[in-house]
Parts: sequence; structure tokens; C-alpha cells
Amino acid sequence: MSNAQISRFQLVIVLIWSILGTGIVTVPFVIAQFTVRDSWITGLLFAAGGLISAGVAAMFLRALPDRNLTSGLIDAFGPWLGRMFCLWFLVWLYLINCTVLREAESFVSITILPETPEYIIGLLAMTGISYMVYMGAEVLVRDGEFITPLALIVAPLLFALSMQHMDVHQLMPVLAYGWQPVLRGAITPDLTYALEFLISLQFVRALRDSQTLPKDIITATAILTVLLTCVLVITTGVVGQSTSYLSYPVLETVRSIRVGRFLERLDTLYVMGVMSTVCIKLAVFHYAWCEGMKDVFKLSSHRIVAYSGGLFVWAGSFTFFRSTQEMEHFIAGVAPAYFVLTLICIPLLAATVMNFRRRAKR
Amino acid sequence: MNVPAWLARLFTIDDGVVEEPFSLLEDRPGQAQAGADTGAADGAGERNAETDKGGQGRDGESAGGAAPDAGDRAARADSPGQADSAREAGAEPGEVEVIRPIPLEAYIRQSAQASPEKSPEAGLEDKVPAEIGRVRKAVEQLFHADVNKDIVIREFIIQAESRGQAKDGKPAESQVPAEPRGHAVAGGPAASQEPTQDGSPAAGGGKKPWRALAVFVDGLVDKMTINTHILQPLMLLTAIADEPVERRLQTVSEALLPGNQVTKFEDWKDIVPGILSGCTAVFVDGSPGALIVETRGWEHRTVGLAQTETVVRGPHEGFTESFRANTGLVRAELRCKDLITEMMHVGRLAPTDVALMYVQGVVNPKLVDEVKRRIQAIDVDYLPDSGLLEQFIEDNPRLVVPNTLTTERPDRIAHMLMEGHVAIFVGNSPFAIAVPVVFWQLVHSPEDAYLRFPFGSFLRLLRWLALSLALLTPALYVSITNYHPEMIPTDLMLAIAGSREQVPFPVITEILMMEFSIELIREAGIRIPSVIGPTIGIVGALIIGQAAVQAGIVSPLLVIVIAVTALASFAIPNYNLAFGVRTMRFVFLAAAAVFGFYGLTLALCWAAARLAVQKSFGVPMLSPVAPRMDTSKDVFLRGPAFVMNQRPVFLQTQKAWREQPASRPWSKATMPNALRRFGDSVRSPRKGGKH
Repeated sequence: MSNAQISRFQLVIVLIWSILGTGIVTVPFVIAQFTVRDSWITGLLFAAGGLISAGVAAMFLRALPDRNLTSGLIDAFGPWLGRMFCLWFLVWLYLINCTVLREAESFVSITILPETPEYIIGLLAMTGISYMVYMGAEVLVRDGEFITPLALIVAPLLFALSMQHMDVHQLMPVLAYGWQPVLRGAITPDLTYALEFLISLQFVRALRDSQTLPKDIITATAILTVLLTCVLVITTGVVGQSTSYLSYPVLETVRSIRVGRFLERLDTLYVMGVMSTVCIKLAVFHYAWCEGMKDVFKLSSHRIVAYSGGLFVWAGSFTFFRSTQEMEHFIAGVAPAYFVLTLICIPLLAATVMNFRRRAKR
Repeated sequence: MNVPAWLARLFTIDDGVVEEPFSLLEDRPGQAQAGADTGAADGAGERNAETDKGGQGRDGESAGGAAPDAGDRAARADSPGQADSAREAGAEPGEVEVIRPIPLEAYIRQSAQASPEKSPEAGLEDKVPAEIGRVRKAVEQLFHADVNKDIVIREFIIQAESRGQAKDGKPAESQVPAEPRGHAVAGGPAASQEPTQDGSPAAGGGKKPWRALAVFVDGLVDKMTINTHILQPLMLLTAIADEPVERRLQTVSEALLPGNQVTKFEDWKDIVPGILSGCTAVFVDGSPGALIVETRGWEHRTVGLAQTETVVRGPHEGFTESFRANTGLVRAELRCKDLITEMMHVGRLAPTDVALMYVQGVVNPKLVDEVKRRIQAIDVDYLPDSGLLEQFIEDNPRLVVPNTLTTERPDRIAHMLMEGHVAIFVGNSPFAIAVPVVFWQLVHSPEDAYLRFPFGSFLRLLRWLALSLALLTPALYVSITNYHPEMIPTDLMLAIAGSREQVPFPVITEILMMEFSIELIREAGIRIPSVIGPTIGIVGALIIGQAAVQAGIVSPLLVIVIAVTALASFAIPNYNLAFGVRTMRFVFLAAAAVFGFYGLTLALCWAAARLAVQKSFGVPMLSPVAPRMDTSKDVFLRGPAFVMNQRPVFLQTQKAWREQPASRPWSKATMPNALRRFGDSVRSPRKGGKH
């Protein structure tokens, strides 16, 4: 990727799509397990997770400027211990890739292609994604930019059309069960999805100005907080208490759109829109993994593992998650702690060690 | 055991039947021998055909059949010398030749050394001799004048007089030198003139005849210009004092040739291309060199309507099959002193003129250098058209989306030049190439700029819709009917199901049949003579629209789908892009047929990824959208002319601004906007250079 130059705008866009890709599918479902009426407050709390990510990124970049996460870990902990930490990070990244792909497979299979085997759906997606990764970081970010104008046309339209079935009373009364369900519901969005912002640490070398990364994370956090809150408000307003029984509440919201006798059943288009953003998310994470492999194993290019890694992810998506329930359990029960350890503790530890070594040198 | 002849014939193939009557390959000695032998066998008559087959024929086979084989083997011999010996050895079938294999590189090197045939261009490196006889021989040799009948070599005499005598203006007829007074090799008008004297330059007392030669290509030149502006002044109106030998050409150029472009060259490599491009070369005895006089005047189509980019509002003229007319049309549009036309030549055997046009001070110099570098790298014998040059210089010729923009409109080229693009003209091609290009420009039409911006924007939206329809409609139809019928209202779904009830084929087969028919009609429509073309179009439509439906081969709805697709593809303004859409449509169709909307989405992601990484002369094809750049509103929609202040950022031009930030300072409607955008600086006039 050495020559790729990612602008701040591109970074913000690609971060938004990376979080929103599966976030829009899973976050309402996870939150609805704890609260429905107050889900929008949970959405607002997403900002907290984003700010934590920005803080971690700032500290890491101050200690290890112009280094991506894996090369920074090697620099901070030394070649052997650093590589051990890198391997931990790469395993985490690989698992997240498998999870995201599994989510996508289930989503497409359940919603629009019930007859097609899931492994075929996954293989097809991963082939395209591996191709994108093979072509380089520029492709990912430009793809993100390319779909943004389309999304800016379609998303407000869907919001507006779904508003016709919205019942504001579904959001009342506010905080009837207190803060506890709200805070419990906020754990997954804040500690899983919001921490995914830190994947941008793997792109530091490709950024035009790496020092602005924390600011860009804050910008993306602000946009996503607003978007997620709007989605949660509309979903709760349209679907109501049924949200807690649905796997894909936003899909139901879109499904409810009906104008006259012609404009209806837009859910297929919604699924396609989500899939295109999931592709970007998977490509970003897979690229980060390939870059990490390059640093750890001193490969000449990330391309070497682009296709084989894609195949590896595809295989893992079925091996690790035999069913959708296993995957949902991983996301809601395991992922938050795993994310905190990997994306907060390890970078902060690396930054601390680096600072300590600098002081020791003085 | 003797096999009976009739039985042997049944199992014998007569090689003479399959022998190639003609081959572009060089005759090999063995083949020639075989031919001679076959001829001998034929000559022997059929009286003893069987004997010939068995006896002489067999000899022929051994001599002629073995020889080529030996020749082939000899070609792989260690050296050409060995090859020759092997060839000779081939005549003696008894000997066994041992041939060692050699590496291919060594073989190529040896072959190159073994065939030191003189390149026909070798003479081009020489200087032009001073003596006119030698000049004539050189010209005849260079242009193969013995067989080449459209090369005219016109020999004539320039009458020069001794100083003092020129003033009286009475040249003595008796002193006119008579040796080749005029002699045309290839049907020149003076071919009948007979020599009357020996032609010695110092023959007459007052007369100093200079022997001269005019060389031109019949059909490329304007004969009237040659007669009245070259031959007439030199032969009849000459009344100049004799000059030293070395100054003769200069005198002729300065005083005797009234042509508007006369250039002196001393090397054949400069003179020969001049002659081949329609100029006339004038050689004068004693002067080493030639004058190239502009006499171009071949037949070509006059400037007419643009055939593929017609507009309602705006200029209608298009380029034609004349290089200079094309560059002139752009000059006429763009009266800019900084407009540069650089000339290059591509082609070894037949050099083609290639012109590079750009606006100095606007264009990025790196872009010009890159275009030149790519053109200079082309090493071909002949480059007939801009379509071929395009394939040589574009970044990725395998991409279905064109990396360059070809147009036949001078106004479009002029507009792009002023934006900072580089235009390339190739020979007499009526299409010019503009580089670099971004994807969005391929959907633009010159008319967008000539219309008021709401209408220009409306047309663009229409074209984007047409592009999407042309690309995706069949794929969407297959997806919806096969995989996602719930997407459409129930009534419509039932209507589709009803219309397909009688159709025995799956949807994808139906669509492929119809697409094939449409493509067939389009292709045939180009080749069918124009008189019956419309009729065939109607017949084709009838066949598809009526007969196919009635026969139950396709459903009526599908006819509409295909018709809309075809119509939409005609709305794409760029011919090359339209081709890309035509081919990509089948890719999307296949993806939709296998995986419905999911396949379609992945195919679109793949296409976007491919386009996102593609560059055209260093400019990302999807810019200014991806990567995003702040630039004038000229991408999806057409912005108002008075706010399109800046040149496209992706071109990295030397001058970013092309108009005043506030180009309507008198307007209350637009001035506040400009003030908001640019502040008070807009009140001051724009400085030259960067704003």
C-alpha cells in the first residue's frame, strides 16, 4: 500500500461504512434484547465508545507516530514479544472477519436467497472482497466514496417513506425501567462497534496526515451517533415492541414501506445496500489483516495473502459459527470483552511501554 | 507382397490436392524444386500417370518433399552456413544430417546476422547529392520508380542569365539548353519534350541553364498549384542572374517560388516524408538539398456534420479525413496564441502524422511529456487510425470503459483543451483523442454546455438513467422474475406470470435470444445499404415484436424490456462507452441469472472497485467523486456557466481559474452568492496565473 494516500474525507467515509455495514443489521437487535422504548438513548451513548476510541488512537499515535498498530507493537515490545501481541491482534481480526462474513451470509440467506447455500453466498462475497483487497487500499476508500452519493439519495428517501407508519407513542414513556437496561444495551454498541474505529490504526501509514486520525474518529463518531439514533427512533416507532422478537428490525421497518399499490417491498433493495456496505467493511478488515500479516511475517506485499486469506476467512466463518445463534452469542456475550482487551488494553500497553522506554533512554 | 495399385490408391492421399496454391511465406528452395518436379510430372502427361506416381512422382517427393523438410530443419541449424549446407544436403536423401538444437535467442541472433538484406530505409540516412543525375537515381531507387507509377519525377530547366543580360529580357532561343528540357518519368506533362542540347550548365554565352527536378506523388498534390506556382515560374517566368552553385536553392526559394510554405532540407529522411505527405520536392543541379513546397491537395470528404455526436444547439461541424483541416478546425474554434500543435510521426514503413495539441500555460507539462512518451514508444510499420493509437497509449486497453475520449467535434476538443486536456490527431482520422478522461465525462455531451444549466442538468440525469437502464434492465428483469418476485406488486407479478405461460424457455434463454436478435439488427443495420436499411429495421422490429410473441417464443413484457434497453443504450453519447455497456450488460445478466440481486450487487461492487483503481494518464477515472475533489459542478449535473469558475482539479493545470469568481458583477441575483463564496476579493479583477 506504500503509495496509497488516504485523505481525511475518505477515512471518515470508510469508517462510517465499516461500522454501519453490520451495525445497522445487528445493533438494533442487540439493543432490543435489553430495551426497546429507550433504545434511542442507547444510540446516543454510542458517542462514548467513539470518544474512547479516539482517545486510544491519540495516545497510541503520540507514543508511536506514523506507525500502524502491528508495526507499532513490534517497535514497542520488541521483535518477539511484539510479534506475539501482533498474532493476538491478527487472530482477533481474523475472528471478526469470520463473524462479519457469517453475519452477511445469514442476512442474505434469510432475507432474499433462502434456497441458496450459505457457503456459496459467502464464497462469492469473499472472492469479490479479496479482489478489492488485492487491488489496494485506494480501492476500498474510493468504493466508499463512490457509494456515498447513492446512499445520500436513497437513505433519506427510505427514512422519509418509513416515517408514515411511525408512532411516536412507542417511544414513551422515557426511561420507564430506569438506566440499567439502557446501559446494558449500550455495552455491545459501545464496546464492540464503536471500538471498531480503532481498525484505522492499521491504516496509519497510508494516511496523508496520521496526526488528524483522532479528530477523524470523532467526526465519524458524531455522524454515526446521529445516524444510529435516527435508525433506532424510526425502528422503534414503526415496529414497536416487536423489535425484541425480530432478528432484523430495520429490515422490518423498510418492509413496512408502502406507497399506493406499486411502491412496496423495498427490502430487497435495502439488503443490497447493506451488502454493499458490508463488502466495504469486510474489505477494510481483511486489508488490515493482510497488512498485519505483512508486518509480522515480513512479506513483500499484502497481496500475497489477499486471496488465500479470503479463503481462510470463508472457511472460518462456518467452522467457528455453526449456526446464527452461535454468532449472535459471540457478538453479544464474548466480543465486548475481547474487543476491550485487544483494542484498548494492547494499544495502551504498547503506548505506555514505548513512553517508558523513551524515558529510560533519557 | 505386392499391393495392387487400385488398393494402394484407396489408402493413399494425393498431396497435390492439399498443396497450398499460394503462400505469403518465402518460397523455400525445396518447395520450388518440388513445384518444378510436379510440373515435370504434369508435363509428362497423363499417359503414364501411374508410372509418374510411382517413379518420377516419388523422385519428386524425395527431392521436393524431403527438401522442404530439410530446409525446416536447416532453419534450426547452428548457423546460416550450416543451414545452407543442410539445405543442400536435403537434395541427397541418403545422407543423415545431425543437427544440434540451439537456444532460441541464439537462433534469432544468428538469423538476424545471416540475413543482412539492405533495409529500404538505409538510403534515407544519406545526404542529398548535389549532382542532379545522382539525385534522380536516388529518387528512383527510394520510391521504386520503375514500378511505382504514381511517383512523378519531372525534370526541367531553370533559365538563368549572366549578369547584365537578365535585364534586357531577351533570352536567345538558340541558346536554350536542350538536353532533358523536360522529362517526366511517370506520365508527367512534359514527357513529350525532347532534348535539344547537351544541357551543360555553361553551354550558352548569356544563358546559364540550371537543371532541376520536381518530385511529387500523383493524387496527393494539387496539380494546379504545381503548374502555376512551381513549374510556370521556374520554367517560363525566370529572368534572374546566374548565381554561384551553392546559392541556387536559396535563390529559387527566395525569388522564384511563390508557394506559401517552402522549406529547405538536406537529408532524404526529411525530404521523403514531405513528398509522401503531398508536398513537392524541388531539386536544383549543383545544390545539395531540396525545397519542399506545400502543394497538398488530395481528395477528401468536405467538413460535414458530426455523424456520431449530433446536437441541436451548438456547432454542427465534425472532423473530416484531412489532418490539416482537422487541426485547422480546432484553430478556428480556439484563436489562442498559446495553442500548440506539436508534430510527431509514428510508423516505420509508412509514417503517419500525429499531432499533439495543448494550450501552453494551462496544461500540466507532465501530462504533455507523458503523452509524448507513450506515443514515441509506439513502434509499428503503419498506424492507420486514431483507434489504433488509442489502444497503444491508453492505460488499460482491456478495460471495457474507455480510458480516452474520442470525439469528432472540434468544439468539444477546443473546450477540453482550454480545460487542460491534451488532444491527439492521427493522420487522416476523423476522430480526435482527448486525454486524460474521467468516467463522468463519457456521459457528457457538448450540448450540455450550450443549453441553460437546468436543461443541461436534465439531459445529464436522463443520460445517467439511460446508462443504468442499458446496463441493468435485463439483469433486473431476470432477478425479479427468478429470485425476487415479491418486489413487484402482485397484479404486475400475475401479469408477468400470465404472459410467460406460453413461453417454453427459461427467462434467461428468452433474454439471450432477444439480446442476440437486437445485437444482430444493430450490426446488420450498419452494413446494410442505406436504401434498404430502414426497411430491415422495421422488419427486424416486426419479427421481434410481433412474430416472436405470436409464436410463443418470448413474452410481450420481455419485448418491452429489450426495447427499452436498446433505446437507452442509444442515448449514451460516447460510442466507446456504449460498447462497454453492451458487453457488460451480459456480465450483469449472468450474475443476475445465477444469484439474483445478490449477484448483481457483487458484480456492481466489483465493477466499482475496478473503476476506482483505474487511472487515465495519471488521473483516477472516478475523480472528482472518488477521490473526492473540490471542483466546479460538472459531474452528475451541469452547473451554471457563471459558477464554473475553476478548471477540473484532477487535471492539475497551471491555471486553476478559467473565469472570474464573480462573472456577473452587475447581477443582484448572483453577486451575493459569489461574495459569500469568495469574499470581497471577487470585486477585484482576476489576475493572470493562479488565482
